[in-house]
Amino acid sequence: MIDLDRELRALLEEDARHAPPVPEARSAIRRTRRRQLVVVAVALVSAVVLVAGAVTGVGALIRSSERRVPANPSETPTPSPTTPAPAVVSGSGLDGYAATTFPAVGSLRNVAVAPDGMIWAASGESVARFDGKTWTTYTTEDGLPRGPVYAVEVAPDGTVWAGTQRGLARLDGKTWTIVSPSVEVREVVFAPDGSVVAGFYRPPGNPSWGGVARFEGETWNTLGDVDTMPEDFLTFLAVSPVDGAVWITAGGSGFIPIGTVSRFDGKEWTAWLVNELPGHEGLPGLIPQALTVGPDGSVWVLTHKGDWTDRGTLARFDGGSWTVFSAPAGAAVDAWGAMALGPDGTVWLAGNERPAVAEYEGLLFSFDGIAWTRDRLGNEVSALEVAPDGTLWVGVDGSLVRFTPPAE
Amino acid sequence: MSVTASHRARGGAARAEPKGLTELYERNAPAAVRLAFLITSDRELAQDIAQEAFVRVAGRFHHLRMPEALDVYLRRTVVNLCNSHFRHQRVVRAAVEREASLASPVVDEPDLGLRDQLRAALRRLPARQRTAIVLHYYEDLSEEQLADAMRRSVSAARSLVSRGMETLRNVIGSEER
Repeated sequence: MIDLDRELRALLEEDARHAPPVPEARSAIRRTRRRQLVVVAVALVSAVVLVAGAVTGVGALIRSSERRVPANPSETPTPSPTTPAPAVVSGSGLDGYAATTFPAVGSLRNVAVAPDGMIWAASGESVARFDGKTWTTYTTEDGLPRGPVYAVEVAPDGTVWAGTQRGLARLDGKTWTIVSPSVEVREVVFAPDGSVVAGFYRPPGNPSWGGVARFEGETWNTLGDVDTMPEDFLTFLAVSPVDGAVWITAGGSGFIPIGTVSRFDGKEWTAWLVNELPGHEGLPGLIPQALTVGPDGSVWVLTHKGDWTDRGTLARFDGGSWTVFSAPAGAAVDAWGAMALGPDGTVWLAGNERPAVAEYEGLLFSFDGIAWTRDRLGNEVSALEVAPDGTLWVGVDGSLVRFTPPAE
Repeated sequence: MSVTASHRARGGAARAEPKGLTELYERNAPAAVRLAFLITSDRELAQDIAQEAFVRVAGRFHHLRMPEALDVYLRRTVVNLCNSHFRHQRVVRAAVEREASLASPVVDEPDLGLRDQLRAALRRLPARQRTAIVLHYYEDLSEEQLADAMRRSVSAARSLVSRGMETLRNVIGSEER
């Protein structure tokens, strides 16, 4: 009896190995830029048309209100929300730091520091380990599922976990074991009780399994009712070391994307639309760009409007209320980097600025609660992690850069 | 597992060649080419489709908003472009067949091994069934993800896979007999 499923998989794997090489990037990049220019031009023309339409519309409304008595005077529009004033950037956050650049095995998606000091990173379709001198890469030959690796994290007990396009994998010795259903895992974190919590892809409109689930040794248990999860791409996941609450952000899609920030307190989810947070009220198009939880349980969220006019907004939740800080000038464009907290409470943010359709410029910001600093790093910052001793590890331009803090 | 020697580089942050879009392309294009090739079985077409899909997706700035979703958008776009190609091909084939008045001689198929039989049967499947099977068995997409990629309901996507598999099973079954 022939196992058709197995035969078919083997056949497709074999045929995929004979796939043609990837065409040279240059032509695709040139065409993409041209298309982006067209998109920008169309957007500008649309904006002009919309503004003209709005002005005309307002005029018409004013004229019509002259003939009409408002049904309820309290229905008058509320004033526009006040956003925090642009923050001032003062100097470099890396003054006194010693920088060392190590060529990496490719662009690094995320970086994690293990308790034994090893650096682990997600890169393309592989996981890489750096011992300070050499890189060791793990691929499908070592048991990793095929496809992109989105996240690599190291548990406090030293176990290494990888979120991939086809599930969560755990490194057992020298090989990887897949421990979840074959669903994309975007993020993996560790709860104070030692359990593993992973964020799974949940296709919009087709929710049956996915969202956030806890690994109980053998089985996965979704946190709360899966139907109460946002029907969108889960972008970031974090867990509070204080009360074990699980925090997620979801992307926000559509023409005007409004992201969400949600907390699971062990019983149920509480969700905030980002444009309902103080300082964000009523703002269109807000996308969570980074999320992290500090050792004191404070939650930090960076949001961005997704266009080049926005500088981004940083918000902190202290358990009772949100405090909003404006991100500094220059943090604006396309900041899709990472956020990490230093041992002294400093917030480090890696982002990418892109003037018009030129190339990325990598930026590193720090915020101590009062003042911002800014450093230019290279063409594209892709990953950031802060070790417990305050050393910064940054993935930039296909390299790994170590910034060692000055001795006290 | 492979071990690569690392070279201790210059101090300070590196400044290399511009990479933004190139990085995205190099990261996502290989999977797009493989998928397009498995669906179309045409090397040049697969390259064209993968490149076109990247231009369409990256050109819409989606990657700026949600870089992690780029591969999902790219997969959808590859599937759409393959479907468009097959639609166009059907029209052309119909015209050619009309002109040739279906006069092509019947050719005995050579005696092929099981895997070649399966490959031939897979290529003869209707395009949508073949796409669904590639997405399910090669990309390992769940029924929900499959429905999302093909922009169909879950039951329709499931049906495409099961009908395709039934045809393949019949081919294998007749080969076994």
